[in-house]
Amino acid sequence: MTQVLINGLAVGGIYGLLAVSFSVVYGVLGMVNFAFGEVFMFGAFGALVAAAANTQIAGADFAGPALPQWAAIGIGLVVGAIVGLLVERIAYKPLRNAPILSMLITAIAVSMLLRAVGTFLFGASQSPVPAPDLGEAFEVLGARIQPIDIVIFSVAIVATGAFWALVKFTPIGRAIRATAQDRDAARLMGIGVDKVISTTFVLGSVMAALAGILYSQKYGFAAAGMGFIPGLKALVAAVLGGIGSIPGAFVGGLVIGLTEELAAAYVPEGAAYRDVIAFGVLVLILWLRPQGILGRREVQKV
Amino acid sequence: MIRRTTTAASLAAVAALSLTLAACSSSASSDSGSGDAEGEIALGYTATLTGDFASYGLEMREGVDLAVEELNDGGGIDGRQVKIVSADDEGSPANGPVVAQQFCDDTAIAAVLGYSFSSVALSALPVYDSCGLPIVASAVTSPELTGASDVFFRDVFTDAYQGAEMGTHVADGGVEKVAVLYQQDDYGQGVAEAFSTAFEEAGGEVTSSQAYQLGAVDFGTIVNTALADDPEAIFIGGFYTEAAKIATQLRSSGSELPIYGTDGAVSPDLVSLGGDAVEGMTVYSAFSAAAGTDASSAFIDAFTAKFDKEPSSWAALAYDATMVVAEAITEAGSTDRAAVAEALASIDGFGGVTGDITFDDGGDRLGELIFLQVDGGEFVAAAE
Repeated sequence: MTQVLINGLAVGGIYGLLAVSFSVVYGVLGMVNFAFGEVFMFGAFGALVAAAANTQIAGADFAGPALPQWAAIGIGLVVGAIVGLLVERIAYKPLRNAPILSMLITAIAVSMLLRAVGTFLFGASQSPVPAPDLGEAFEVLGARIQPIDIVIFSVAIVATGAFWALVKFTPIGRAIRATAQDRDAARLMGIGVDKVISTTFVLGSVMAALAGILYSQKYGFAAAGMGFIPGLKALVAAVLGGIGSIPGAFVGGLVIGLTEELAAAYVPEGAAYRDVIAFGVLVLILWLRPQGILGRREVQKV
Repeated sequence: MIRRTTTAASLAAVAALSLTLAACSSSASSDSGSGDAEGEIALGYTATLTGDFASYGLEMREGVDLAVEELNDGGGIDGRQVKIVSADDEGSPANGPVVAQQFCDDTAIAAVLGYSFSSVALSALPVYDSCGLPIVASAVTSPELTGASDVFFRDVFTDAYQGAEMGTHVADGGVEKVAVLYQQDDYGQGVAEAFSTAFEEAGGEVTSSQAYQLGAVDFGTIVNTALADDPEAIFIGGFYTEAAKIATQLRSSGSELPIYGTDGAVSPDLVSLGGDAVEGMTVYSAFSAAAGTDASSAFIDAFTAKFDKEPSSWAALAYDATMVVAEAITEAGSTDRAAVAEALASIDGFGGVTGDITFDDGGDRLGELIFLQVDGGEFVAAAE
C-alpha cells in the first residue's frame, strides 16, 4: 500500500507540474495551450542532448557538450522556455483578439507541428535516458522507496510552491493576476499585457520542461510522442483542480496519479484500464463539483 | 478528445506484425509481365512494397532474390531458370484479390511468395482456391490463416505456436511459478494465452496474469503485484519498448528474477533502452543472424556479400520459402499447380536456414524456435 501511494505521488507530481502550466496560461489567456505536452518533450530532449557526449540529431552525428547533470537540466529548462516563448510570439500573439476557437485550433496545430519537428530531430523511436545516480532504493514501513520518486515529489512541491508565491507576492505576479482578471482593465492600468502573457508562457514552459525532464529520468526514455498522454492527463488534472488555480492544478495532478496507481493495484484488470478509471474519476468529480476541487464558480458573462 | 495519437509511430515497425493496417496511399508498382519465356519457371511475389510498412516486403524480397540467384547459378530447377513476377499490394486488403487474380491468370506462375499482412492474404485466398495456385507466405502470423485454404502454407511460426514453445521451454528449465505480463492486444493476448496454457500443461503454475497497454511507461504497481505471489520468473508478452521498461522497473524494485520475453522484444532497442536490466533476458525468434547455426552460416555469408548487411529474419524466412517451393517443384516433377501444392503439403523436415521445415494440416509450420539470451548487450543463442 505504501509503495503504491509513493509511486502515485511521484507520477502525480509530474502531472501536477504540467497541470500548473496549463492552468496559469488558461488563467491569463482563457485558452488551452495543447503545446505544453511538446514543451515537456523538448525539455526532456534538451537535458538529454546537453548531457550526452555524442548523439544523433536529424540523422546526423552531433557531438554533445557532455555537461554535468545539473547543468544539463538547466539547459533543458532553457530549451523549454525558448520553445514556449516562440510558440506564444509566433502562433498566439497575432491571434490575441481572435475568437477563442481560432486559438484552440492553432494550439492543436502547434502541438502537432512541434511533435513532427521532434520526430524529425530525434527520430520516431524512443531514445534511452541514463538513470541518474541517486543511490540505492531504501525500505520504509516494508515499502521499497526509489530515491527518484522522493526527488520528483519534492521538486514538484517546491517548484509549484515557488511559482504560487511568485504569482501571489511579486509585482509581476500581481500583473499576471490582474491580466487574468480583466485584460482590458489591466491594460488601462498601465500593465504591459503582451509582456505579461509572454512571461506567463515562459514560466509555464519552464514548469512543463521540468516535468518532462523528471519524467524522462524516471522512466529512462525520451521520445517525440512522450508528451501526448501526460499532457492529456495534466489537462484533466488542471480541470479537475479548478482550472486557473495553481494549488488546484497540483492537487488535481496528485489525484490523477494516485487514482491511476490505486486502480492498477486494486481493481481487477486495473493495469490495463488505469486511464479509463482515471478519466472516469474526472467525470465523477466534475459532476459533483463542476468548478473543480479548488476552483471558484465562474460567472458566465453574457 | 480532439487530437489523435501518433505515439505508436515508433512501434509501427513491430505493430505491423500484429497486422494492423494503416491506410497506405501510394501508387501501384508492378513489374509484372507474363513469364511465358520458354522453359522459365515463374514465381509470384507480392507484399507491401511502398508506404510506411514497406520494409518487411523489401527485406523479404532480398531473401527471395538471393534464393533465386543461387537456384539459377546452380542450373535452375530441373534445368529451368527461375524468375520472379512482382506485384505491390500496397498493404490494402482490397488489392489482395486483384493481385491474386493477376497471378492466377498468368499460367507460367507455379507458386506465390511474400505477403506482409495477414488481412491482405486472407482476402486473396478465395481467388487462389479457385485456381489452385499454392502460396508459401513468410511474414503473416494471424491465427485466422490456419487451415483457411488447402493451398496456403507459411514458414513463419504463428504467435500461438511460439508462445506455447516458450511455455514448454521455461517449464523444462525447471521454473515452476511464473508471473505473466502482456500487452493488451491480439499479439500480447495470443502469446500470453498460448504460453500460459503450455506452461501449465507442463506442470507449472501461472501465479498472476496482468495486461498493460501498448505505450504504457509506469509498471511499478503491476510489477509489485506480480512479485507479491513469489514467482520464480517473469514472462513478458509484448514489444521491446514496454519490455525494457518492465525489466528496468523490476530490477529497481530489487528483484533478480529471470525474465522471459517474445519475438516482439527482439530488437537492438531492447538493449539500448533496458541496459543492464535486460541482461540475461531470454527471448525467442525464428532466425537470428547473431546466433548463427551451421545451417545458416553459409546463407548469412552469402547475404552479407550481396547486400552488405546482416539478413533480417524476414529475409531468411523468405529465402527458405523460395527454397521450399523449389524443392516442391522438383518433387512434383512439374509446375502443375495441384502437383506443387500436393508436394508442399508433404514437405517433411526440409533443412532451411531457419531450421527444419514441415507444414501441418493447417498449412502452419512445425519446427524449433531459436532461443536467444541478452549477453553483454548482444542477442546470443541461449545456453541450454
